[in-house]
Amino acid sequence: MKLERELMRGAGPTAVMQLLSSGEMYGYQIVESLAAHSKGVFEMGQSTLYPMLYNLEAKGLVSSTNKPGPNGRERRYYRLTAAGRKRLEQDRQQWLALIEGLGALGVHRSVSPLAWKLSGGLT
Amino acid sequence: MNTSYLNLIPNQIASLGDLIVSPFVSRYDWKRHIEHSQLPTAIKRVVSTVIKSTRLMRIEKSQVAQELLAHFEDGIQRNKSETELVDDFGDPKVAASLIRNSKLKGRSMFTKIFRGGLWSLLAAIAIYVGLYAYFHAAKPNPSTDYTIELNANIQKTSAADRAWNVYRDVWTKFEFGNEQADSPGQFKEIYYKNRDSNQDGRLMLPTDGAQWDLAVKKLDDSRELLDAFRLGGTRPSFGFELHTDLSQYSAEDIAALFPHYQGRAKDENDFNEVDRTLDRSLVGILLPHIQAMRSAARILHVDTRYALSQGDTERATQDIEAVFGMAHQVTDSQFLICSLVGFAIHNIGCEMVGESLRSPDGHFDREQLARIQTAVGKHSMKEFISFESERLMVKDMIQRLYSDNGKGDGRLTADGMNVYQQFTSSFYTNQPQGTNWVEHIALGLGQPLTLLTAASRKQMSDKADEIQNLIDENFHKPLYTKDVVDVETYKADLDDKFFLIKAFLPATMSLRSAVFRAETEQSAAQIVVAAYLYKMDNGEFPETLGQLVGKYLRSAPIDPFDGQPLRYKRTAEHFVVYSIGGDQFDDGGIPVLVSSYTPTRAATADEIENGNARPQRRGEIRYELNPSVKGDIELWPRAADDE
Repeated sequence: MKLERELMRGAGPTAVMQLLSSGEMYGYQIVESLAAHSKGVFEMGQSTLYPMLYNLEAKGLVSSTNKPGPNGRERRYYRLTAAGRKRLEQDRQQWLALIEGLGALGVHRSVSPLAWKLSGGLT
Repeated sequence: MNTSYLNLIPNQIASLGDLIVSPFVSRYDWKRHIEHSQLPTAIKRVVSTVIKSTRLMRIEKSQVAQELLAHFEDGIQRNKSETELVDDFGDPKVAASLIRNSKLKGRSMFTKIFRGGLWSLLAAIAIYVGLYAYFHAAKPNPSTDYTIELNANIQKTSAADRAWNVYRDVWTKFEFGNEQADSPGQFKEIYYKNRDSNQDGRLMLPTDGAQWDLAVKKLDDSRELLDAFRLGGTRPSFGFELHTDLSQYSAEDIAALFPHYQGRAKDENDFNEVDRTLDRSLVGILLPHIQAMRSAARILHVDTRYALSQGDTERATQDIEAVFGMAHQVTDSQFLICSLVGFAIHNIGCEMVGESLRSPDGHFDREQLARIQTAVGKHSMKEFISFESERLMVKDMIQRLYSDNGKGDGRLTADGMNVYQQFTSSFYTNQPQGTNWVEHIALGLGQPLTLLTAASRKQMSDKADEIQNLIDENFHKPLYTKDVVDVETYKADLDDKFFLIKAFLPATMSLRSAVFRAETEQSAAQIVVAAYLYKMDNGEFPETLGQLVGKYLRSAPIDPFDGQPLRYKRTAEHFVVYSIGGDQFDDGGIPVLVSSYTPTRAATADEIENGNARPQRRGEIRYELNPSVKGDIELWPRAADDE
């Protein structure tokens, strides 16, 4: 299942930051990881990923460096900054609160895998 | 450049360098990056579409292009098909829009300022270029020949009333229009030559010995010219029509007034358009006859002395009549300079009258005295001054500087500004044009900006009319009236957009002093001649001014400082005439004393006590209210003016 655009806009950056919290990654790697670890939920149009990364970089939450990858080709690697880590923690708290709120309303019966991942399941 | 090395450089400096060089360095050529990649054509097309649509800076496009190419290469490496990759990527236009927005947000403050400055600069240049083109597109179209209006009164004068018809040929014969110092027409012999100085001094006196003899010989040799002055001087008009273009004068006029003129054909080659415009404007009109007439008055002044020494009171009377006539003749053209020369000549006449009456040889008969009295009072001094030509001059300059939209309005033109700059440069600073090319370019580039600051043609014309009306309303108000608008201050306070008015309208109100002076001198001369007539009938001078009113004077001449009759006091042998002066207080005829060291200020008590004070000379007296100027203005007996 894919997320609606508006939901993706809110959750996408948190998901990307969560991935980068484990180490630096380049664009295609992020696309693959999102698809693989979110069971397709965050399988986004790839054209959306790069603007999202540029936005996070503009906000100082991630930084990027050009360097050669394992095959020798140069790629742009993104990593989470200290500000990004702080922001990720805040986002995580907010998502948990949201999920709990939705649970109390009976929107879902148990904590979803996504909520589990966002609350630190991937780390 | 090595990437890792690039990362060591602080961001701002790297950005500055990249920003400046990026348009010129192939490293940032994103098209080349795409072209050189090994990706399938369809993918290249997608990347190209995205990058082109972002409309980002070249350096940013290059960065994004490299990242997207790496992205697709990674996809290919993971065995994704071309179609899958293109589909997974999504709509290139949407991608471009999102990338653009995110990149714009990510720009550093430095980049934003740099780009903002660059765009502002480009916008300013574009506006300036537009302004420059607009400014240079308009041309002045002078359509009114103001010389017609200028000469209207002269043209109405019959040939018999024109003095120029009498003067001209004999003027040429005696080289009277030749302004070169060694020309016989300069009549240097009538000026006393001080042995200690090379300067020509005062007019020659019969007591000057050998120098007087030379002066007399010159007068005798120039009898024909002096006869012409005496005859022409009685005619009501000078009768000389003025032209902006010298080639419009007759050959006879040219020979008399412009003996060194070589003809238009030669001058044309030396003239540029600016010179030509100025030359053909009223500002460029030459008035060589004005100063020549002043010289003629001085010659007649010396001839009066000569005539009286010969006992020829008739010739002296004719000389005096001619000088007063000349004073009026030069004001034909209604330029302010003509008015001022007219006053000067009139003053020479008044001095001739006073001097002749006091002379032991001044045995004028009654008829001659009556003629002198008529000559002195023939013209009101107010008739001498007119601002008409100055008004026309401003109008003429406006039509030469501004374009004409046919509805009385227009805008300042490039040709017009060149004319204005040439005018102000030649008239105010006397600097030659075109020698400083830096200044020339700076002035040229700055000119279009005047469109934003200068008044329009209509605004300029309206303001000129407004000031002219103010002058007309205030100029002839009595001197003792205090509610006179200070037009000069009003003009000086005008916004700079009325630069033309500030430059071309002369300080007319300061000429009020000259008019009041001339009127007062004239009044005094009238009283003096009347007193001598009275003495002829009664054997002695009158006791009061009132005794002259009726038979000898139509009314008592007025003191401009209080509107009362000029002061007249009988002395033992003679009489005195004086004005109460700027302090408006009657000091009994005691003149204003000025410091011998600084004649522009009143003498202090110490200076008077120590003999370092002297009476104010006629030329130093300002006819204006000033309570600090203690003392009166002596009008009779008058000391010789300081020539």
